[in-house]
Amino acid sequence: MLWLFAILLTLAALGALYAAMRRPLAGADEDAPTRAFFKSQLEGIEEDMRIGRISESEAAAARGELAREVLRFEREEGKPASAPAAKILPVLIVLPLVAVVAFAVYIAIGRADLPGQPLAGRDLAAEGGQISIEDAIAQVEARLVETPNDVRGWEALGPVYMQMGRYSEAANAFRHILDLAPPTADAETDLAEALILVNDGAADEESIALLRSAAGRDPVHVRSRFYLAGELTRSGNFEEAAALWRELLDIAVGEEPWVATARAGLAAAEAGSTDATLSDPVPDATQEVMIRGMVEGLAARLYDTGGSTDEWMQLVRSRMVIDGQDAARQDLDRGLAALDAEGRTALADLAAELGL
Amino acid sequence: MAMTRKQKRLAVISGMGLVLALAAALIFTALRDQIVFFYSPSEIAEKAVQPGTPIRMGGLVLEGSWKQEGEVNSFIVHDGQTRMTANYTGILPDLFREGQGVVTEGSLQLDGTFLATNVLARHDENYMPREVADTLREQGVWQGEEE
Amino acid sequence: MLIELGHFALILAFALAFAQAGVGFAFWKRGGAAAAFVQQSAILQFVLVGASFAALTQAFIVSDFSVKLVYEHSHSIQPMLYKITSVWGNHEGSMLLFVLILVLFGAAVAAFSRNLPDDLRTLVLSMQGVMVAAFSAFVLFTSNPFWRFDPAPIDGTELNPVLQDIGLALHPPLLYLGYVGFSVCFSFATAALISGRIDAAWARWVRPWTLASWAFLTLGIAMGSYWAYYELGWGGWWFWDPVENASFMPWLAGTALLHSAIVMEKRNALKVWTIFLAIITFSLSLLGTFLVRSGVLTSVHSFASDPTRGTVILAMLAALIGGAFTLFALRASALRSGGLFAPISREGALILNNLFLSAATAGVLVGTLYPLVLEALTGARITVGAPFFDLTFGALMVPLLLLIPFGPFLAWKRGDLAAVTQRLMGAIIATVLVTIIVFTLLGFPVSLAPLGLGLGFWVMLGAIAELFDKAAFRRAGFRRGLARLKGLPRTVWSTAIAHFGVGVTVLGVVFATAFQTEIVTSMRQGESAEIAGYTVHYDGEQMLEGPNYIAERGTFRIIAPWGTTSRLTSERRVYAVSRMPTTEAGINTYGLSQMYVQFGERFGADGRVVRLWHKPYVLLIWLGAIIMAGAGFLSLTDRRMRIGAPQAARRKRPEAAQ
Repeated sequence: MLWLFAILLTLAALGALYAAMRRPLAGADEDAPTRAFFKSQLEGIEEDMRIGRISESEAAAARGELAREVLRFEREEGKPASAPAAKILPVLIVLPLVAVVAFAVYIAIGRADLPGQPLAGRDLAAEGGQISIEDAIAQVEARLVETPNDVRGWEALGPVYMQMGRYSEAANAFRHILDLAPPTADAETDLAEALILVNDGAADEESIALLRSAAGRDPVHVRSRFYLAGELTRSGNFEEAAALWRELLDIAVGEEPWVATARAGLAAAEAGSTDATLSDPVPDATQEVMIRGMVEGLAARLYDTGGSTDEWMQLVRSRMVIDGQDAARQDLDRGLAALDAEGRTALADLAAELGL
Repeated sequence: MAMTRKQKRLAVISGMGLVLALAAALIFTALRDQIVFFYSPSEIAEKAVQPGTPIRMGGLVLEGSWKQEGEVNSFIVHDGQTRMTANYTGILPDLFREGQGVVTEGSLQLDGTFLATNVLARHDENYMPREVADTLREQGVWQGEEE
Repeated sequence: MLIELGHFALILAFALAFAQAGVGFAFWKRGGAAAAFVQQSAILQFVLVGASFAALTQAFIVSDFSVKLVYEHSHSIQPMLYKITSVWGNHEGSMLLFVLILVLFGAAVAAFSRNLPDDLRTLVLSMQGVMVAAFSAFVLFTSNPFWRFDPAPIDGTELNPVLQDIGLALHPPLLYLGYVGFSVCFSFATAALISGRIDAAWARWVRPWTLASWAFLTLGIAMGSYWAYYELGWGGWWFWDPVENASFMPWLAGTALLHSAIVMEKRNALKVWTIFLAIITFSLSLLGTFLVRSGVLTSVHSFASDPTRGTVILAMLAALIGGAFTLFALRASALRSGGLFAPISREGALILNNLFLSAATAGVLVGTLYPLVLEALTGARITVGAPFFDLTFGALMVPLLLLIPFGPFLAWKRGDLAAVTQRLMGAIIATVLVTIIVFTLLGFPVSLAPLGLGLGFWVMLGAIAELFDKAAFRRAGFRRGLARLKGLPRTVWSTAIAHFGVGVTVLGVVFATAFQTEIVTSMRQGESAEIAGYTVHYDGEQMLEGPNYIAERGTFRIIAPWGTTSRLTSERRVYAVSRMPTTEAGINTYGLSQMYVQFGERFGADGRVVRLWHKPYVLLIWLGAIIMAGAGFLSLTDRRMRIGAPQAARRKRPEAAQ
């Protein structure tokens, strides 16, 4: 279709050119424009004299000067043109050349295979389903190769890598964010989190430093303190850990889901600092916080802006594991209200499966 | 009054020459006196710029240094080595940010601070004033793309 | 599919432009089929590039994010007007607009100059073909607006919020009409050098193109200045910024060209100089494009500049200008010198005009490029700021402005200065009186301002005096004088009106610089401030949601010295997609004066930093420019200007044959 129109367009253009060449301007007098000019000059002199800009004698002098110009022109340029008018044939050869060049260049740089995609005509939801996460990542990655300083790209990639378990790439993305944008407690904690996961849950010096910096930057930052306290408890740094756990409990208003974990952590740290050996196993704070963070984040987003059936199912399933039936049922109701018929059925099936 | 052909032409040409010479003299005098140098805080220290001389100073706005009291602003400009406090009365450009590049116009005061009469704005979030970018690259603070 | 068809149409136009240049230069002497080919090809290119531009615009209108340019510079929630202006609110699109206007002028030459000698027209169009080929190649191969994404992103990043303004709809098209219009003068100049036909008739044929380009450029610069004035929010209307200078230099050179072409047309003199000016004017336009697009100079107005592509423009600029000047050097010496004249004469006055204007152009050029040169030579980084330009430009303009009223009174060849002074006596006396009155009203301030005002009045009154003198009211009596006034040729009217406009702008500049009042203060809700007799009362702020931004809007009540109260709002916006903040200044107009309020940062609980300006008669600056441009267009309608146009010629040919 495009090609048809392109060919028609080319033919129309070349046809118009050919038609024009067949009927060249019928032997217009070559010198007519110049004569017309001299005539208007003469009119100008008369006019100037009429409105009194110049006197009679000045006008006479000007007319004489003009007459000399005309004579000189007749002598020099007025001779009949020596060269014969250009024949049509040599010019005609250019026409196919134009077509060839145009099509060659278009084939080289055009995208004839791509249809136009006006926003109104696109089914974005369907496309969202079609584009796999891997494709989307690949796209963003490709763009970042060109503009490595585009912080928005890294911000999009980091969390996605984390979700997919590609921790070292996530760490790299978060590192870029820290380099490019002013550091925030969240950004530092993100990087620390990714680094810890790269090391299979062990915090190295860099991540500890990052966490400390984040906690120092924001006096009410929970996530950094949580990791830090958990890590300190595990490494036997009980006094500092206990202080941090207490700090966390101070920050909490009491209803946060992590309060129980923090209490347990504090208890463990205090126990550790009194008898220096640990009888109870340390609660795995890091793991817990991370999972909870993800679930809460997902819930907040879905409640706020809605999401796909798959995402609602994921939320209900996770909630069931972490917080039990009641909380899961609440999410389920919310999801059923938000989804369309098809999604509702799928979600209800899942609920039945989970025994809700 | 009757001038010969030669005299007429001479008069026109010498008149033209005079005007051109005056214009050239004007341009070059002005160029010597009216230009404004661009310095980073380190260069101001190095070159011992005299207080009162109008200059432009560029660098990064130090994080956490921006203090504002009504229309009176003060912030610290640094280039990785030297810091300099700048004072400015007025409304800062929309894209003025801590941690980002800035160009200020003004002069050094006797107390060693910089009094800005103008803080230059950018139109573009991604735009780093070229002088600032160059300076920072020299100081090794900013590793932006090579332009 | 439309978008790809648009891409193809642009490529076809590019191929045609090549053919047009080739055929044109090969067969220009022989007319016939070759001349017809060149003419038709110029018109076709306009149709093709027009279609291509329309296809791109359509992609923006329907938000086709599979087009990279749409993705990068538009967003689905942007208002429709800004979706359309986004087409040229970026590098690639604005270069396509440049090409569109280039082919528009090519087509106009082909359509309206059917009566030029065949060889001259063919050469002019061939030269235009070279430029269309070069610039469309630049667009296609380095800045292609038709680049696609597959798959298409969900939504775009938005147009730079500063550009989301009606100003973007007007300023770039007008400016490009001016810049690119001078390409026709450039082509005429090179055509004249190649064919060796450089005479008075040539000057007449070029004049309409010079006039039209000059008038568009005047409007474009004025529009840009007003846009920067209200959008940047610093209350300034001219910063002597490199980008501004880049548009101002072609204007100065173009103004000189406009005047020297008159001498060439009427007196067959100044030929070499006029050709030189025609070349240099367009060269300065290209230099302007290069400076703006490359970002080699720091500017407050630069957007998305790209140094690599700037280098390509620099190469094209060097080739085009270098070629033209080589040709100039080879052929200019062969020119026959023209009519003789005394130093005091209309010719002499026009030469002086040209001297001052070219010296001013050189001054602006030196000031603009000096930082580059100095940095390359010594590494020192400097700025040449407003003080330099104010001093040099101001000093060069004063004598020019003093001379303007004398020019139109002087006779060609030999003028009588004493007699002219006598005829101008009325205007001189009126100027002195007005200036004294102004002095008295202002209480004899120790500054140059009243003198500047006097200069503005002098130029305005001189222009009126010229019309009165031409109508000869004194000799012919009032009624006949009025009839004569009506009967004056439009070129006489347009000269007087354009000069009057210069005076108006001068007045505006002096008023706005010397008599403006400015305060920066912090205001709490309910507080008020006094400025220049006006009381500004701050009524508080509210949040408000625009189509694609959120704004904090401050509301003010302004009580004028004569007691009327009006409301004014000023906003700080944050745009939804780019998260970029902008300030929208609040401006109230009182006659020709303006109250200008910039809404600043928050202060305490309900306070705001506020910057207030009172700008007396500031609108005169742009009003004067509009008057100048209007005079240019008026002059285009003069009967004698249509010499090249088809209708006039068809009427004339039988007469000439008699």
